[in-house]
Amino acid sequence: MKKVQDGDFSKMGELFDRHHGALFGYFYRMTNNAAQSEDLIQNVFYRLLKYRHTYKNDGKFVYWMYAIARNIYKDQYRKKDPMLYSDELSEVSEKESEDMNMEEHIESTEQEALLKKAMKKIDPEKREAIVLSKFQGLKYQEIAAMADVSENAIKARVRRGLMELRSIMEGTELE
Amino acid sequence: MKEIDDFLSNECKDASDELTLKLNQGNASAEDLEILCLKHPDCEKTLREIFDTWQKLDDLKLPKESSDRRDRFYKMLGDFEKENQEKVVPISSARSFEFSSILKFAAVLVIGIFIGVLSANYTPGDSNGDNGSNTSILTSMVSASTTERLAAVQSIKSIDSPEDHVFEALYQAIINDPNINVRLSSIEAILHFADQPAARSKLIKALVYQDSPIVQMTLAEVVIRLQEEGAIEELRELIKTNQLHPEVKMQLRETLESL
Repeated sequence: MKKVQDGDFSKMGELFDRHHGALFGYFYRMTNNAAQSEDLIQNVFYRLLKYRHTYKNDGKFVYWMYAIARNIYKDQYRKKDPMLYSDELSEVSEKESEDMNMEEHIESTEQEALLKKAMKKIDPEKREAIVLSKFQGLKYQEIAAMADVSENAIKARVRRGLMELRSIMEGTELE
Repeated sequence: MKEIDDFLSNECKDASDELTLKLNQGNASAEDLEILCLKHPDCEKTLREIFDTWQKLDDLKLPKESSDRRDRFYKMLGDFEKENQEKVVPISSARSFEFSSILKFAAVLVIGIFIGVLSANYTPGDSNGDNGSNTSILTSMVSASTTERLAAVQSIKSIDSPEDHVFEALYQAIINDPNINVRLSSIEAILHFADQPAARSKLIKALVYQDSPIVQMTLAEVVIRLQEEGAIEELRELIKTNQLHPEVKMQLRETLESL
């Protein structure tokens, strides 16, 4: 990023190659919409470029990147439906599909559909705490710093989020 | 508000947090779960459910990304580099604005381009204002693709003498486009024509319709640099709304005082 700040924009390609997968994981798990997630990734890299001078080399680049990604997610959904989460089902990769028999395939699809239904229902803040801590490899204190809340608040979001997911999947959620 | 864990004892909440912390750190084994369950028998069901749900999340698969993602990225990067080169103009010949607000980097960036264009005797390209090109550009501005909309906004800067409907299209993009980068680029594009009253009036009008703090700050900064007294009422209205970020409110108050 230092080189990008110095005007060598070609280095941005390396950052894209290194981080777009993680960003796709973040946005897709937040929105369940692959096309939308790719658009949001473009926005992240546009903003990383545009605001490159605001990056201080005293912190880890990924925290800054996720802070920008979070803002973009919030900008995108604040105006519309804050609970917006697509109903699309992801395609199981060919390799995985080959490794499964029909029964396993159906079970896997059903399980995923159920999980997505539950992810859609939970509050986006809880969904985000789970996504960042489970899939993106961020520690509670890092998530707390990005969200500008206490570490205990993040713990509570993860705990409640997981309990709500469970409850929704079992059909016993609170109304 | 009622939360799902209201019925849990504090001890159980703490045990659950201890478990999720270990899960987050990637070092929670089945053995750790058993130890916790033995230590907190009243919380066993909750702990097992949390552990199991965490594992189940692995079933959430990621689809394949599109094959043109890199092309789209490099197109965006190319556009950005081009735009950045346009900004490199002799500062000594620039109109004398004082850059005091480094904190509002986005605004400075936009204004930097504005100063550059005004002062560097900017000559638009050959693809200037024939109506056919204008129509094509305006059509692209309502495209479903963010990249196309960004490109369309950028190309407006090459129009020689834009008519009012071009400013209207940029204004609509500033207040309605779902993508914040398109909104910011539209501000930047309209600033290229800030010597025209129609363009300035659209910028001011756009202020009250913004809910994005960065766009609000950018517009406020632009208005102050233009010393646009006509914006006073709009700024007052904006400060009264409850949706403003505190930092934006402060910035707007400063803007008002200076007008």
